[in-house]
Amino acid sequence: MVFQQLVVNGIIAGSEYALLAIGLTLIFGILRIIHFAHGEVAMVGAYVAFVVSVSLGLPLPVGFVVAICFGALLGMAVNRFAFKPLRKQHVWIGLIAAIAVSILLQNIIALFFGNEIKTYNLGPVEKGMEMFGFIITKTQVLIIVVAVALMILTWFFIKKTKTGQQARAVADNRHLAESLGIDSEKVIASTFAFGSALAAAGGVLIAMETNLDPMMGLMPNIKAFAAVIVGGVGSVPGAILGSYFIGLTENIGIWYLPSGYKDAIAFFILIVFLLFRPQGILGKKKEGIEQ
Amino acid sequence: MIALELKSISKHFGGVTALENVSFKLEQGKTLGLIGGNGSGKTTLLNVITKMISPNSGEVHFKGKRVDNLPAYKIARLGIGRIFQIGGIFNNMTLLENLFVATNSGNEEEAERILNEVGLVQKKNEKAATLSGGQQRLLEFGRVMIRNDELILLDEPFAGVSEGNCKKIEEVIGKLQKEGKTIILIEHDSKRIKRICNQLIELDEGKLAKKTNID
Amino acid sequence: MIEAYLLHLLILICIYAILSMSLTLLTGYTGMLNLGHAAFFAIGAYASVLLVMAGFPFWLGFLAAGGVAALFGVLLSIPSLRLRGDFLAIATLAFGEIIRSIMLNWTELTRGPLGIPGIPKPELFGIVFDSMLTYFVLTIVVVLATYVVLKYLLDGKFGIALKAIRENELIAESLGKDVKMLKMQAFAISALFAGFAGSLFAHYITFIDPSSFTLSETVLVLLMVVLGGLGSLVGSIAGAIILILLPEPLRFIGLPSSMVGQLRQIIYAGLLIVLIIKRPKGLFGEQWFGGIVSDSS
Repeated sequence: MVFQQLVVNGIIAGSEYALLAIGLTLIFGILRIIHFAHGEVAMVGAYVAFVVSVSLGLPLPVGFVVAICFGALLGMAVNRFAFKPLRKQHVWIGLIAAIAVSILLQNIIALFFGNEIKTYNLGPVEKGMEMFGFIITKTQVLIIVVAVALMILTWFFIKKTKTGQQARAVADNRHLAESLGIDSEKVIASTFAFGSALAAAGGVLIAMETNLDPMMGLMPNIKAFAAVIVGGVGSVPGAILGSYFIGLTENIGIWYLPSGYKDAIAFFILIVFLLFRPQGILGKKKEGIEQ
Repeated sequence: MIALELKSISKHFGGVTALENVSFKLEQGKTLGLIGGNGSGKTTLLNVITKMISPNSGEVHFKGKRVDNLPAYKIARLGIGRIFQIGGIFNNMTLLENLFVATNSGNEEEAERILNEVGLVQKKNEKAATLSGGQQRLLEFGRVMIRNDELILLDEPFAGVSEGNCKKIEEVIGKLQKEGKTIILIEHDSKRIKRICNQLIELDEGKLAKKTNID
Repeated sequence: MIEAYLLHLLILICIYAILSMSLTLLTGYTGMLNLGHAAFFAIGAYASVLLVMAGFPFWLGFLAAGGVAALFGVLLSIPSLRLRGDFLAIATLAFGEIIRSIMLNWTELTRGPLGIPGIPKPELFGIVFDSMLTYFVLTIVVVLATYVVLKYLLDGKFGIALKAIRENELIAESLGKDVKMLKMQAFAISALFAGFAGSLFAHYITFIDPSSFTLSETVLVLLMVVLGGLGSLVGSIAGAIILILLPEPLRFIGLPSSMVGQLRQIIYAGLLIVLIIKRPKGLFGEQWFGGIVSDSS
């Protein structure tokens, strides 16, 4: 494999991580909860698209849209039933709840669909286009384009919509925002819906490139979280930058290391950043990590 | 003998000056009152002495030995005890446990004797969270007593405490003074300060504004 | 047959009781959530197996299992000196995954995903623990020893100091507690016993591979600790008993075995959610995290 190919692979992986990382960082910014089950929301999204496109025989884009809508609902449900009863608890109780939700979703899907790998029946394996010394498939181009489009949409949501502004206000100072008449619970629910919709979209894209299985969300989500830390918690541009950083580092890293260590590279970056630069690449202040 | 000496201590938080060039000496067995408005740097000064924060410059000497380069727990082990403005006890531990954590001996008799002195012995096996604000403060006094601290830093020990417990606290302070302990007291009530302290330092925006002897 | 089945469950309960007691020392007493606990379990298992299969006696493998795990415990305590709460938890999770990644990829040492089969049963003082009954005796002895040692440590000044760190590190330090050293000791002791459990597990099952030491293993032990009550050794043992026995009836209602595994996980996860919402202090624990509000501003 040539070096350019590893860079392209890193960009594809980064695009996928970014769709998860945006929701993680928004949710963390508001609730200070590490949404460990966010990857399972993506996984469920991928299975919803599978049901629509393979079981019902509708076109995959329809499945993609249904998955996004279902993802939003699932995100709100997770917030309502697992996180909302635990507000004001010790910081890591929310994390335990999220881990439990993650295991729950993995096994419910496994119960219905089995543990074996599934695909979207996209026809015979695509032959990639060759350019500048690397190969890229149409699906992979599509992944990058859709991911970037959704990032632009996110920017619009955060900067231009009323909910986005309110979300930033609640993340900044919840009590102050409430005293100005902002319904923070509603804003939190919207944030979950928005972030989870993006995650579901990410899940479908990941499944298009590789395949579906009940554990498919776990690793991308932990890497997305590493991206959030690298970019600075709570920052959306940081999360996107961090995603490409993680995607590129782990792919270029296997130029030097056995490819089996790809996942370990992301975890190593995560620990190093937590310890030595908890405010991330872009962040200025320590976001309360060390109280 | 000089118990505590601060040599030109300065501390800045970002651009804000909390302490600037503060120096003073405190003799053993004396009680120093620390006064000044909100944000004048009183609590920061105590934090610097116990190394809960590090000063930007300056030195802290305890009984002739430089201590500001030691970690916080080693400073505490030299015999510097502290009563906090808020949240100075371990809420989910019993009163006895709150005392045991402060010493290296698990001597229950000693702990009970001290709880008796601060009037809390009946509650020895209850969680500290059940205590009133004043009782919590008294428990902290119990802690400096069991540790036998030589220098005791009191950060507004009377704030938000009922009259009865204020009396009790003053009694306890009097007892510590008799035992020859060195004390620094942050307090707003000027009558009480005059009653308890031998010396007075006023801080103003982090600077030492005035030093008086009361006798 | 039924006797063997019951002994099998008892042996598993013993191994998990050691694990859950070791985790409550860290998570229940010291207040540090360790999501990489399965890594200590794994390190103990591999250390013991590799030594014994290289010809060393079992007692040496067993002690090395604890010792090597404890060394890694000291290593993992380094993040705990700088990180709090959920960030520490994520760092421990990353640690666990890195260890698993090494087990998968360092094939010269671990045979990677193929695992190590044919692990011999332990032999001590000329006795081979190859029957279920003798193995049960061996594990219960280790459980009792673990309980006695941890009980002695945690009821004494060490335990009180750990609780003080859990409640408020700064105040603990202002009272002369060497917080860094105490955290390091807590991690080392916790890992030590998890390593012992790993050795007992490996020589009982006689086959190990990296898939036995995943995050869901850590979560199961964590659930035992939370169910029993954080900060209670008896509770941790009770948690192990209940959670090993709880899914067993599923075996007898005629479900396909693949579904049993999934239902088991669904029960565990669902129970964990209900538990932390409805009864966060568990069966025997102190409710110490119920009242602590995370400082988010």
